[in-house]
Amino acid sequence: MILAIFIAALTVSCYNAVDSSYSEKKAHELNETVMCPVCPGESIDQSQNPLAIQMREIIKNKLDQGWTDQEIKDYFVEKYGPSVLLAPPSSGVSLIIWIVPPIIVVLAILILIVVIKSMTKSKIVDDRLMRAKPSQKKVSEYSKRLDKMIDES
Amino acid sequence: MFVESGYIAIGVSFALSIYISLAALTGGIKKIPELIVSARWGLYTLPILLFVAVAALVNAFVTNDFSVRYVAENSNLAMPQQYTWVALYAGNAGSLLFIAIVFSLLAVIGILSIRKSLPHSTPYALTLMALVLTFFLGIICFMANPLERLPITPADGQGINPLLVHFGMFIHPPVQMTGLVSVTIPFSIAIGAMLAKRGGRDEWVDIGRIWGMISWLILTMGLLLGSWWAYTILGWGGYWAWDPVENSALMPWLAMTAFIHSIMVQKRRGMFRMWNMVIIIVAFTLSLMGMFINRGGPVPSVHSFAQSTMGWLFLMFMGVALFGSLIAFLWRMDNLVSREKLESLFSRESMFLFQNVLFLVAAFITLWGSVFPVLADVINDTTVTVGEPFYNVVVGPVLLVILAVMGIGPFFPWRRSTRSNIYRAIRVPLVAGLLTAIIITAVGIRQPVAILAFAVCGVAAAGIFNEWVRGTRSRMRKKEPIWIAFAKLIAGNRPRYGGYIVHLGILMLAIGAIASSFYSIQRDIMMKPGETYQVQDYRISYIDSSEKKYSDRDEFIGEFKVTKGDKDLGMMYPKQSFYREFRINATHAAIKSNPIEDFYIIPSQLSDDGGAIFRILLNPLVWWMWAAGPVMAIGTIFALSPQKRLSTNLVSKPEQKTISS
Repeated sequence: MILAIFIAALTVSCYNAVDSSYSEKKAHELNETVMCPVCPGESIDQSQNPLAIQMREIIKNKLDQGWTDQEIKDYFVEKYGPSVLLAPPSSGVSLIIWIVPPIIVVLAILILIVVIKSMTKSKIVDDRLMRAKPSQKKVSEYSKRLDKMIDES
Repeated sequence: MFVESGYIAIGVSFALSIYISLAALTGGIKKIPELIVSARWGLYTLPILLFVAVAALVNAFVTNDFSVRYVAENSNLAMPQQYTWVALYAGNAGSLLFIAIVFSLLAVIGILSIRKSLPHSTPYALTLMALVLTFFLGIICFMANPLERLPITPADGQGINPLLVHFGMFIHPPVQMTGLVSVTIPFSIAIGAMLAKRGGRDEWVDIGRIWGMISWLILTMGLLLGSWWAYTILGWGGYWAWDPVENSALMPWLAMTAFIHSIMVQKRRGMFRMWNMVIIIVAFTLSLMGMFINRGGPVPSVHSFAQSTMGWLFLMFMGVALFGSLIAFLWRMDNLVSREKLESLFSRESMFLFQNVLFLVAAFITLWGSVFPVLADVINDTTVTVGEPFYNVVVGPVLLVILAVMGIGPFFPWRRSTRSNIYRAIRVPLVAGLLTAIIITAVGIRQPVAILAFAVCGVAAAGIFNEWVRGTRSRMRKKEPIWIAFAKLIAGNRPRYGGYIVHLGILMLAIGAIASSFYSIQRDIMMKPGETYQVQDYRISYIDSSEKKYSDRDEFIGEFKVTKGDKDLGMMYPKQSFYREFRINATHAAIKSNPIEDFYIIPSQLSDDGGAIFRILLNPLVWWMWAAGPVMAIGTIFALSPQKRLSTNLVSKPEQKTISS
């Protein structure tokens, strides 16, 4: 039932969002990838710094003039240096940052295999435990408590 | 003099913490109970000593004693009295003192909780806690003493950072700091047991799990409160920005999440002994890393308020801690061999293992993204920024897989399962997931990623409800009314059903995050008083604006009347305050929130004629994210509540000693 409410709420709210205009959405998407140069760590979409507001204007205008995403990004990189982009480019030194996560995933899978292998190998068979017989007293105690639990529930 | 007595108390507590670590260690190794007792009582006195220091600092704040450097730097005459509490941890030195006293209290409770049940490992756990305390107190003593006096007393202080003047700030930073430092307790308990050669006995697991979950809960609350603070005051309409400091709090949370799951395997099956040690070491290291990045970390961030130059000290301590605990781990590894083995890939155990690895992968990718800018700078002399777009691409998919595992993992039985078992367990969730996908596609959602993400949420939710329904039904067969059946069901296995409640909270969080990141509507519009604007079926009228002058700030308040369709939603008052001294703008969003969507207004830029640019957002389902907090808290507390278990141990276990030798 709660699931149904979730889905209902979801569809109502998300349905609204579909019609926002294309260029506005595009500008928003671009804003999120450009950092505000004077407020470290924040994108120009987040920041309310005058410079960020000005840069949002620039992006909007350039999109209206028909610039592509890449051209706009290049424009800002030329002006403020490569660190203005929040996602490092996938070329040059910055390529490494994109390569490592998949490597981490592969390594993790390898570790997983090794760990599973080592855990499935039976290392020690404690035969004293295997030979041990459950004591009659404990067994009857256990079954009594089980019965009691079943009665109670 | 109050300040001087606080000063002395700090010095004494530093010396005392050194004594505790030495006495506890010697007492533990040489088996001298008197030394251990004296170390323990030493620990019990620490919070009292530190309380004197804190009281001295509070008193200095309340009496506006600007001869104390820290007070002069973090308050002024204009500061409202209730912000003394915030000012206490607003700066580097004060926050360290705060961490020290909170940690000393946690350590006392921690030691009291294990003293009787784990007599052999207590001295070692005590040593570890005391070492961590020594580190903090040493820094406070020699590098950042909040009670240090200035040579010349200024007439007024510099004041508190205005971004911190917010209700969320009363709780977010202390909770976050407490969360980070609290990881030390389960770490000390686990490593203490290992050092005492008791690691193979699993006796530390119950209490270690409890502390792990307490620490997890505090970290979770810290993260949520931080997001809430960002949402209401940072003024961009979002709640998470993959900021380096956010990441540094997220990483230990990820590792602790792995820990509280894998510890269950050790609790139930006596397996994963080494694995749990590794995970808790990772979590502890990441929590130190979190404190390091927060304090003069190398990466710029919104959290720079506690910045200092002592980052390298934290880094060094982190290195020593990591190195030391790994050495100890290798040295004691033989004790940790488990006699149980993994029987099948299709078992609860391997699902837990899989979950663990996913969480660690998420943590390490986040770590990589956080340190890469530093590496690039040092190695190649290039400045790179790593922000949201990167994390969305690389961490997002991992989180999605985690959600999926959360959906089906809990329904795998322990040990092994047959194909039909699995099929029966995941049939309903999978169908529900498919249905979710079909329904939301039918109503017009088109982004494939969003559809996939929601479908995965559907799988997980259906799995939990399916479990509840099946359990309740089978109990109802015994003529129990539905509510009693349900209550008995979840009370019967609290770790499990508490866990499900937490999972529901996570789902609420996930749904809110997915919906708001894919489907929020944002408009930046210029408005003058008297104008109206329509977004979807919301209609806002900008009635008027007013300005108020306070001693420390100029406040601009917009007055809006909002209607949705025909319904009057009342007035909204978004605010922007300009703090003259700091030349900082702090915005205060006006939000109308309901379970479907948030309507959100913030002023972003003011012009002279009373007009202003406002940012208007429609954020779907964000309400669920904040509602998830209490749900997760309830679930965790439920899972922690003590419960008598029917012992299934019919055979007395032979001594472990024969195995390790």
